[in-house]
Amino acid sequence: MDTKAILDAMADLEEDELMEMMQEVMDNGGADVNDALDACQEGMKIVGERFEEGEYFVGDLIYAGEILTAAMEIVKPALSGDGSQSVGKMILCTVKDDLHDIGKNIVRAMLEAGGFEVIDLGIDVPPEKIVETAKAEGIKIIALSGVLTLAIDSMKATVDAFKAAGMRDDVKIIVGGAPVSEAACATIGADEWAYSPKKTVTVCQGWAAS
Amino acid sequence: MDKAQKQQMKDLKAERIRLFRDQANFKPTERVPHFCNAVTWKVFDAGESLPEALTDFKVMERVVRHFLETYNVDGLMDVGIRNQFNVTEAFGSEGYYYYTEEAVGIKDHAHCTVDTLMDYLEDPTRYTWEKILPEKYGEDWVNKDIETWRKVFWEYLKYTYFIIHMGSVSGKEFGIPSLAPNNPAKGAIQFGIEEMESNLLGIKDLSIALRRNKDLIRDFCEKWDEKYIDPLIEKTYLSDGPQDDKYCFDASIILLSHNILNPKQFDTFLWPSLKRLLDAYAFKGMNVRIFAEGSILRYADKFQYYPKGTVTMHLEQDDPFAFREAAPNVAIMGGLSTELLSGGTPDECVAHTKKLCDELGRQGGFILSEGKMLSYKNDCTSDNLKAICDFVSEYKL
Ligand code: B12
Repeated sequence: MDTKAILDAMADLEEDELMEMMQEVMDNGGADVNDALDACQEGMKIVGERFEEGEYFVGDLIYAGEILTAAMEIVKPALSGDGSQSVGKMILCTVKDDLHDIGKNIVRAMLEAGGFEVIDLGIDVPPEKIVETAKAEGIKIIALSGVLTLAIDSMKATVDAFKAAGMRDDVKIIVGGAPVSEAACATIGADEWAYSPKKTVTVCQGWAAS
Repeated sequence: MDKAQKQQMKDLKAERIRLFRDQANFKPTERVPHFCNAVTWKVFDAGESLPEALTDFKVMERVVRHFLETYNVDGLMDVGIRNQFNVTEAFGSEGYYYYTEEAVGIKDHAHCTVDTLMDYLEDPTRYTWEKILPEKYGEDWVNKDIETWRKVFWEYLKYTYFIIHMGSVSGKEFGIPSLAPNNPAKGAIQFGIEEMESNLLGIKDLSIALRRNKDLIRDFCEKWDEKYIDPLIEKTYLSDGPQDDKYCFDASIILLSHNILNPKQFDTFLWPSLKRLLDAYAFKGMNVRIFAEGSILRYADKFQYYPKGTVTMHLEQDDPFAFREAAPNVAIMGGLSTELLSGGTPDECVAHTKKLCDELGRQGGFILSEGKMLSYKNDCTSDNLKAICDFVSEYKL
């Protein structure tokens, strides 16, 4: 298996080549599956970098997420299934009253590529549901997405719900989406904010490691 | 209103059109005009209920009147006619929309897949009848009883009347001019790639198709141009040129797809069509307003080659000062962020507005506006908007 070729195919968004190589991994018994996935993740990192440099745009990120998912589907049967590769579990969702999920889905693909097992609660998710899930699953990292200005209120309500449940100090909260800024992050009372998916992954990995 | 008042409003409207046109043409004016981008925020500000305003024309009219009596704006993007739900509701369905006390929403929807895209283009009416309407209103939509149809047509008539009525209220009683004429070819000017992104495929499927089905997407854009854009271009070349006594702009375009297209895709799928149309406007000395949703800064240089007075870019997320630097020939509409309008103080709003007028408007080329459509309760405070309106209507350049 040529891990460099897999990495390049992912980074260059060469879907057919990538799928072929993933299929090869399976045809050869699937022993190399972890290395192949690592290569995909490295390729996805480059996708994130090219986005920051202005070479790739939102459409490319969406497509990258799509082919990464497809690649993972192919090799899934060969994965050991104990989640041993995961750097940690986290929650991601679009907050209450907001139905926009394109940015959220991009961030999810990047987080998954960064090794996270992401519990995606979907769109229009009320604070209670996020708090309940965090409690039930013992989740420590929460990522909230939203593009409506209204989402700022919902993000704040979510942070407040964690406080009310006595769980604020147990979780790290990162917020993102078009209206989120340094100032908005302070108003919301979140721990971090990000626009770029790359920073999001770095911040969450830092939290998971600590 | 007596005769003198009517004349006064007529004059005010003409004066405002001149201000908008002169600024768009980089001619210095005595003050900067303000085209306000307030949508459903008006409802909260008037203390009315959102669900009522969206389903009762009388309530919406009160909202618009309250707004125009309170804020001295020169133009208003929505005079209460967006998001009216009576027609859809008469049909016994919400369609893709829903609303609560706080917000109006559209649910994500797409009418086509890559396999049916061309069917749509071949015969949009047929496709709408056979595919889109059943999806929206249920398979038996044609077989609704006569009472339902009567109600639907009645509501449709009332809505049409309301549109005309609100145009007249805002124009005749408040001197508010219309933004731009409708494009008779197809309502608003829409490019093929935009139609695929907004209605036919959606952002996600289009992003994928741009890579997987590149030829199909190019084919669609070309055929779309033949059908909708080429006739418009021809009409533009044959027209009498600017209609400066009627509208603030000769045309209005909304762009969204630049947010997903990378430079290569932009040059392949959007720019060729957009350029041919802009060439026609430039040739005729007509001015076009482009509402650039999201960020268009990275493509600013494309528009820089047009002579001053051709393009006015209405910016949503881009910094107007950075945009001016990147494209000094392009007039700018915008400057007011919801962050400032909701989080700033009246003094901060005035200081920022002054800076915009001084730095961007003195030589012409600037129209004050809100970047985002003011939609939700917390998008703006009344005191801030009042302070801005009072300032900009008085401030001499
Ligand atoms: C696509 C779109 C829609 C689609 C949504 C499709 C979908 N499945 O998501 C549809 C048509 C359904 C829609 C509906 C509506 N929309 Co809309 N929509 C947009 C649009 C054009 C693009 C949003 C988008 O996807 N951007 C691309 C993504 C990739 O960007 P992003 O979300 O910011 O994500 C990036 C970063 O922020 C970051 N990120 C994202 N999430 C997270 C999370 C974390 C934790 C981190 C760290 C980072 C991060 O990563 C991404 C990559 O860099 C915007 C305009 C615009 N250009 O922003 C309007 C916009 C957001 N919509 C708007 C409005 C008003 C509406 C409607 C109310 C329509 C109406 N009735 O008029 C409804 C509301 C529905 C609702 N309740 O949510 C307004 C909001 C105004 C406001 N005051 O907030 C906007 C700004 C348009 C405008 N110019 O005014 N919309």
